[in-house]
Amino acid sequence: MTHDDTLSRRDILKKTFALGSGVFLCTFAVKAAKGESPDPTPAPKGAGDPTGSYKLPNGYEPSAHYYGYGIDLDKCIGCTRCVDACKTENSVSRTEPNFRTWVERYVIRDDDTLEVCSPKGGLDPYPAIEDPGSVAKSFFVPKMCAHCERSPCEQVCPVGATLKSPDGVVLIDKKYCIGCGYCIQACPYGCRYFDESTRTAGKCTLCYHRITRGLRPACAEICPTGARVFGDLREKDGPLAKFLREHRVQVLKPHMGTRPKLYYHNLDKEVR
Amino acid sequence: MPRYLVRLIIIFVLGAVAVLAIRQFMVPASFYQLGHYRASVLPEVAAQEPVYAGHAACEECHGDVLEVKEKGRHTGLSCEVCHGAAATHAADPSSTKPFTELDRSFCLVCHEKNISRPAGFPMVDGLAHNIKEDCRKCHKPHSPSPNKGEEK
Amino acid sequence: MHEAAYAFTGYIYPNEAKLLWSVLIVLYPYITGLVAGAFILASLLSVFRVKAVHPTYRLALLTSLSFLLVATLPLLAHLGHPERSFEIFVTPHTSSAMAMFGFVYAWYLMLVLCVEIWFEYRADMVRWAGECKGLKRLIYRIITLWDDDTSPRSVQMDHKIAYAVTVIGIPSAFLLHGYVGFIFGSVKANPYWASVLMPVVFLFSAIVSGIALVLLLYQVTAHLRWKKADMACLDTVGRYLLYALIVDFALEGLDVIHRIYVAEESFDILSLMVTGKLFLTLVIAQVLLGGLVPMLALASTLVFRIPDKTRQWLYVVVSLLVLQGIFFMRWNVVIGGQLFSKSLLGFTTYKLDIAGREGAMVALIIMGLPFIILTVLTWLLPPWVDNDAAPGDHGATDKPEAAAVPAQASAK
Repeated sequence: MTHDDTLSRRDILKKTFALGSGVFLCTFAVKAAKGESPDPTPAPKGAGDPTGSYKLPNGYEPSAHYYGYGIDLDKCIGCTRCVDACKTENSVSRTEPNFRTWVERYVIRDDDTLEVCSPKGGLDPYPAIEDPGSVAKSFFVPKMCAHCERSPCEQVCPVGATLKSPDGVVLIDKKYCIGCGYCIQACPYGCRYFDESTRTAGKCTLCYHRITRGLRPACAEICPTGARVFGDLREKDGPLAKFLREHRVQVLKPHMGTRPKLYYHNLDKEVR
Repeated sequence: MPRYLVRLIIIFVLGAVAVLAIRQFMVPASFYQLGHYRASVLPEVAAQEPVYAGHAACEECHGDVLEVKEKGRHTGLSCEVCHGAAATHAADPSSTKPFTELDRSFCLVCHEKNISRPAGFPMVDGLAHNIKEDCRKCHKPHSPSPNKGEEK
Repeated sequence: MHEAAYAFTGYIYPNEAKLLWSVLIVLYPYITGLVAGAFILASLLSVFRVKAVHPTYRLALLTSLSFLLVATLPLLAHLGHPERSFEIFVTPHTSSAMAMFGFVYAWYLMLVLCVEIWFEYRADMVRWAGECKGLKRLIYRIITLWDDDTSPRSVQMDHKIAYAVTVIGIPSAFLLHGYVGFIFGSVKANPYWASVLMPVVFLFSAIVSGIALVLLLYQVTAHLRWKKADMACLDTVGRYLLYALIVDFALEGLDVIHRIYVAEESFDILSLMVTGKLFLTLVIAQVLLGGLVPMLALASTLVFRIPDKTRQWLYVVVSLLVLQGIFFMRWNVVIGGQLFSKSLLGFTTYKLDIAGREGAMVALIIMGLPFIILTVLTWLLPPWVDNDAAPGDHGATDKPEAAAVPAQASAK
């Protein structure tokens, strides 16, 4: 090996390096030409509202809303029309164990034994209660995503495919989700599932396509007794604000620190 | 510094530069715009077409029925609770008609006696209450009254 | 109807009917643990200059690399969209424990393990490049970056850099596996996983499994090469295995005692699970066969005089027991953590399929791959140190084809 050889090779290396840096700088130039900042960083929290100007094509402004949901258990009759409506509205599989909402039936006996069931989320008939004489109390509890303020599912998503929209809805980017399932493990309420049809996670969207059109979510629309109350927490005279004002409410698993925005009235201690 | 060390360092620097350069191209356009996600996911999710038209859509054409309904016990109910999802009908009324032939079993979905249901909700024992009759014979679905027709 | 397809008892949330993380996710912490464990064994002994275990140093490094190369495979095979996995590097979500995987992995593979092996072997590779012909020569040439510098100064520099990388490598290996434990330990929704001890327990069980693997591989490779294993080395590694086992056992015991004492709301369902569905894999496979028996066996080598031959067999059996025990430890964490409902009212079941994307066959193939890679690596970078070779000449190889090479080289 001669010394000259090495030098020429070193030259090649130098040129390669220059070329590489050139490509790198070009990418910045291309990005700049496209009008994008090369290393965009989210605007700092608290410094105004960074999402303020963002609007959907139909003029809907996400940051003007902040949604929540109330369920009055005194009114739920367990008809499970909501479970059915959700499947219809969002084309959720009726064969896979995929539920964006479901209704549980609790039976508490005089001797404090607890029986809980939700056959096929409530789409199948609830089994007849044996020995009704020994039942201390029995009731239905609809469940769905609580669109938590501190959502653990959004926290653990490795790529940013689960997001909290500016209007407080936890959504999944099905084009970006890698299908790792970490969010499904992280949800304390079992509200997420693995959707075989897209091979991504799936969950309640609070019928985002409806609420951005001024409609109620399908489950709230279809609830015959008014047990399900959908509303905007910012709307001080709206249905949810009224519900929260007039009822004492509770959330599920408050010790998880997830700050759910699904408020139950008259929740029993046995419900988890 | 030995030559091999210089070369090794150059390789690592080149690798790092390449990774950073490739990353620039891989980040989706609307990422970071609203947060750590693609902002375009919001219009994408919102683009889904509703299947249930919503109560306001029914009101546009069926004001007469709603006037009756407002006076009865079913006032809070959406039309689509009983008549089914009707977005296609609302978009083009002649295309499909929501079903209207609702039988006894459908009424019992909500009104069957069930100890898990809140007390005070109007319920009947489906196996004992005028078992052969169509509910609509006594109760008007658009303005039902619980006491009408009750013989007990 | 999913009730027919998925068996469960009690009440579970309807979305929990299908157990999500399969045997492949069991393999992931298992393999990563072997990587970290083997590396920590090699590094600690190198940093603290434990002479007796020198024969295992290079073998441990290569073992670590072989397993690290396949560590991502079970994850990729499990993803719903493996083709999107690059997103973890492109837009890592900083609040996600899993997103950090890309960086920890890249750091450990590229900057620690590969660099350490490169500096450890560089001078030898330059020598082998001169001794070999054809493909092997070309490979050595490429890896050594076309520089045949073996001056004492640069060799000394190699040693210094390798030492520095080792020192950085130890906390990196701790990070790699502690982080895997954190992936589970940080899931507050799951009371079986959520524990601050999880990363520490994962780390020590990783060290245990790594030591056991190197102990086993050293004996198997010695046997395959018709060489006598160095008993002093075996005894020393065995002693370290015992120490690691004791620490690991104590930590896991602490976790159990803490759970029993504080008896949170999840306690009833978890104790039902541990004494029921997990009895075989946890109490028998993990604690008894994978913990207590190996500890007693290893302790007996310290107390009693056991003949070399018997002791060697004992080390083989102990390594195998420990390796299966740690496998079931991962199994119990990953599968066990999903068997009970987050409603704390019932259980689902997990059935390991034979075929299929996440079946036993795929798992076995993934577990076999590191050994194939290791075979190739030992062909390229012989790690053998034999008693009959001069001490310090740790590049010496006794492979027939390699032994023939110097003759050819000198003839040229």
